[in-house]
Amino acid sequence: MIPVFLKNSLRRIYRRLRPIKAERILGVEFVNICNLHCAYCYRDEEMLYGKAQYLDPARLFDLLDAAPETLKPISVSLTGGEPLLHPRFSEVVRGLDERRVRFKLVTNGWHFDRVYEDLRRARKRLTGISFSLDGHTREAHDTHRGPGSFDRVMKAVALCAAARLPFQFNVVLRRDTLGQMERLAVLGARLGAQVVNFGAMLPTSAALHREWGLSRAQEMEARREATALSRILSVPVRVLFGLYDDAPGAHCSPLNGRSLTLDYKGQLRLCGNLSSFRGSPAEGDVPAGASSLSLDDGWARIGEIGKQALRHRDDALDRLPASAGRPDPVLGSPCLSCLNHFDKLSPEIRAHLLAS
Amino acid sequence: MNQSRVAKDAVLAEFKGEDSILLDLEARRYHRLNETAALIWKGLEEKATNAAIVDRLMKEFEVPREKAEEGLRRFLDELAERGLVRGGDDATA
Repeated sequence: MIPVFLKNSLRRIYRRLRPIKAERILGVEFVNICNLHCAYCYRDEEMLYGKAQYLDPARLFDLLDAAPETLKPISVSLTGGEPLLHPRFSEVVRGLDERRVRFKLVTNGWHFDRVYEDLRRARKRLTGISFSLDGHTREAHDTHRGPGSFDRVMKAVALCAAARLPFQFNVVLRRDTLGQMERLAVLGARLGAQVVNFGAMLPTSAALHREWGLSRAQEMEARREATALSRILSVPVRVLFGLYDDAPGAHCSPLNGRSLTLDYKGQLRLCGNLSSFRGSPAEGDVPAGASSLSLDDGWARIGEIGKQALRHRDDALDRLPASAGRPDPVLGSPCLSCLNHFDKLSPEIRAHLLAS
Repeated sequence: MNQSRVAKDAVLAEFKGEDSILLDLEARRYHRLNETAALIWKGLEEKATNAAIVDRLMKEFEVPREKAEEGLRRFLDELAERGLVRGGDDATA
């Protein structure tokens, strides 16, 4: 009989030596609607404020239950709309916990007290709660999200801190938040956030971009600022997606084949940012029969769609003569290039971006 | 009638049957509050007088007036030390 201490030591050695398998992520657009009304949101107005449509949890669980071992481990990221508005949220959290599927969620925090107990019970599988912030003060945040929003999200943060639930902040970079990067990062550090993420505002109209959008130079400044803040603070500060970066290759998990999105209609597709993009009905990232695809087939077929988008950008970058200087703002931004490839950018916004 | 006022921007996150958390948004610090303290804080937020808060404590926790007054005074002292309230040095007035 092997003594317990020896068994534990062997187990530890085995864990260190076994190859680490990269986790795949299934983004789940859990519900179409949202209770807040942020002008800069890239989601389609009709979708967000039209008839509520909820993903059938059975579709999610069928996909996870039928997933082959070769795809595992798979983690789930619950998004929306506002995912906490799904009437079967508790059931889904329980189901993920029972299946030992790690999960995270992105929320505005308004209804957090509704689901707090469910999340506490499933804390072993919960890897993070991303709260969307639009400013480091009540005034700055509520300007975009409406009165009461800041207090709601701060209450949610306090609940997480009390129960030691991991949380992070997601901030959309605009002209007003660019100058608040340090204060937002310090807020995250002081309140105990795991990480403070900054992501680009995806352009949905020329007027909006003129008012809030960053120039290429400002985007590069934001990237440098995030790196500097990460060095100074105890909390990691990251730039997530969408900012100008003219290096070829995959910059995001969908294009490097690590993630897929299940939308609220039950369709598997390439990326949540392409789903219900404001003003564009194009569905180029959705393969035929997407609402009945398995994860295995989905990853293979949608992976090909992603590769085409990637090839399209890499070829265009390759073709640029050295004398052309830096690529234009659309080609130079991985996210904008992808949106353009899938016909999500209107001619008006595309012309504006190219002229800016 | 004497009244203590909330001096700082703070939000209270309540838990059923457990300690609540007061988040001081200016100092960016958490404070753990028991049920009594949470009830007092809510009274302060509602701009209730200290006497009204004492009445609430007596009713909610079935304690004699002296004990409720003492509890309020001690908590107000703690809050004042942290700069979270101002005024109302006499909890019973």
